[in-house]
Amino acid sequence: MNLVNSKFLTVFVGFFLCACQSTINVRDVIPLSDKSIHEAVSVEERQLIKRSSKLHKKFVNKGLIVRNDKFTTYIEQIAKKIAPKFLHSEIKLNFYIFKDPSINAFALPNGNIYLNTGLIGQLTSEDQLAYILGHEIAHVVERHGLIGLIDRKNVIVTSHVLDLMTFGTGLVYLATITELSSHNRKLEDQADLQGLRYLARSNYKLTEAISAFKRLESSKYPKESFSIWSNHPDISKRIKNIKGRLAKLNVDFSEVNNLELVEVTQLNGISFDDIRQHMAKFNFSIRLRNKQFELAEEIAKEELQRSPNEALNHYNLGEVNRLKVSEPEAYLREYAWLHDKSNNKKLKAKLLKEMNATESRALKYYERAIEIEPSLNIVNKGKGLLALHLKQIEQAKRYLNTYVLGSEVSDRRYIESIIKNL
Amino acid sequence: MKSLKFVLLLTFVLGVSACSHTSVRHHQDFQEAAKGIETVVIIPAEVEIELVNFTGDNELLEDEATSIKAKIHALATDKLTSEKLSVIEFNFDKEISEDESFAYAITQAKEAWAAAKGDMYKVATVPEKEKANFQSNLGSVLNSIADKTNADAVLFMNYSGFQKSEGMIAKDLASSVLVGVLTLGAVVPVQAMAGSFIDIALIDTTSGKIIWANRKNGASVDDSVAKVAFKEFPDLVWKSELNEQTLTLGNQPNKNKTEELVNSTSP
Repeated sequence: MNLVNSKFLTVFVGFFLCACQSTINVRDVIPLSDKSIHEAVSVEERQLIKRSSKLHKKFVNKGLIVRNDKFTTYIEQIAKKIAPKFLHSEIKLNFYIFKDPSINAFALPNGNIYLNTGLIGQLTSEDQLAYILGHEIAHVVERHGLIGLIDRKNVIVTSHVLDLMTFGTGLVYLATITELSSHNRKLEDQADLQGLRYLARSNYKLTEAISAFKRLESSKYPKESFSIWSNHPDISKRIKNIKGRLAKLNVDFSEVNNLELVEVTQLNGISFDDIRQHMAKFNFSIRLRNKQFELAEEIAKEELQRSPNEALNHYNLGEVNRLKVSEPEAYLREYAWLHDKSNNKKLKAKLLKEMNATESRALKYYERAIEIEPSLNIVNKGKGLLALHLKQIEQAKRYLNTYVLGSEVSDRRYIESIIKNL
Repeated sequence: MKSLKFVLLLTFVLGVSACSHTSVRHHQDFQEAAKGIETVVIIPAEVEIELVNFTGDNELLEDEATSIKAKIHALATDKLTSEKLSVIEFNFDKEISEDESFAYAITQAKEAWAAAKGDMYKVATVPEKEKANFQSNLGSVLNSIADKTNADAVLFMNYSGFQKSEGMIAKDLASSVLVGVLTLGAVVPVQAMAGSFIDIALIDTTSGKIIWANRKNGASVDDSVAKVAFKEFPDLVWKSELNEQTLTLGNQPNKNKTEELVNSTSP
């Protein structure tokens, strides 16, 4: 009887697994770089390409792609130096800058590669960017999107079947998560290695791969995104792996640049730092809008360190401090999250105690901005809103009225509505 | 004895109503803000419906999403119109395709709304009397939308839903039966086959104040969850009603009624 049962179970499980399996095996997925002409190898790949295009359309409709031809051309030229040539009827490499301040980059199975503004803002050289691009190009060339999908399907279907065999207790899914992340790590490791190989074909410094990781590791608050580029324990391991691989190539590690901004040559009149600065501005404004004051402050402080005589950098720090005091609940929430503290009365009391100093800091930064650039009208808004918070109504009126008198005031409606209520 | 029963019942009813909770949220100045609202533009709803597959390769059900999007847009238009608000017809698709910065302005506004929800929905429901204790404000982020659409307020809607595939339902049923067998019938888990969630907010485009926000869960993928949410749309004195009143009263000798109306709705 037991024998009959076990046979039945084996046949049942086998049938179930076969019925739900992918139409292609991982071992049949050939990288695109083998110089033959490729096309979609399975229903799954066709689906993935279709979904990628839809997702890209969504990004465009949301205005999430930075449309700057100069920047795009710059990135394309770097990619040209490192990417292997391949021919696929539906997969082509396209590069986009994505308006997202978190440290991430990603590739879609149709060949679209997206670099977050947050990631570009964190790097310090063209060579580092080249390595990141190499890694993402490797995902496309090695068809990791398809491999990942096949792996996922197999693991999940097997887990469902095992769950039923263990009376639907759901315990098996814990192992599923571990299994899926181990598959993911394998693909990332392969992309790291291929990225290095691509970089080795160009004039870019191989050691900048390590510098890139070190830069990303230096981010003060990595926990705000869970990408493969910001996961610190993984990054340390990846640096070790890359060092091992470079040692085999006899690369001199003394060249590894840690945190300093590298002087770079220009590509078509644009240097890496032109792009980085532009991205930093984006990242700062997104952080502030999302009420992530500490994260915004990190960007503003770094920019101030690089350009101490830029009035806007002082103004930005003034804004961070003003918003911390004006929106203490949001500040408290962010602080508790970033520093792994409980959002309780004790923390609130601690932060409230610091509010006077924060107010003074805001004012000090505004004053410094005006000192450097007396015509910087936006400072009037900052000072007006700070005065309003401190209930200095006459001062608030004066500053805000001066602000709305200026030209190019994008938030005129909002500020006028405040003045009206004063 | 009869009167004692009545008093006890009354106390119970009062107690229950005093403790009733709501998912509705208002800015503390919502009644004042409403007096500045005459026109509303409905931002195309974000609708995402997922088919949960046995293989884990979930799919987005686009036809269903398009249908729900149209239905909840119509529901919103009806509700706003019945409240005497004028709904501005605006071709968002055309503007978004032609103007990248406008497309991003909408995304920014949605992100700001998402950030404001962090303040408003620390807990799912609050006592009725505390629903207007919020100061959440989107700031100036909606100004550019106001400039383009001429709307006094915008209505945001986010809808997400899921449906399980037949394979997934069969798997859930089988595991429920197995757990039932294992626990000798003491526990038989019933898993949801479909579900939906909606998040709505009406926001003043000038001051950024959230006049009304609500969110609801449902056990099916249709517009019922939106209907439930809109049932709690407040009956306020909008600018459009004040204008109407002024016009009517303009032909009558006593104009103080408008002032009375304004005063009676002050918070």
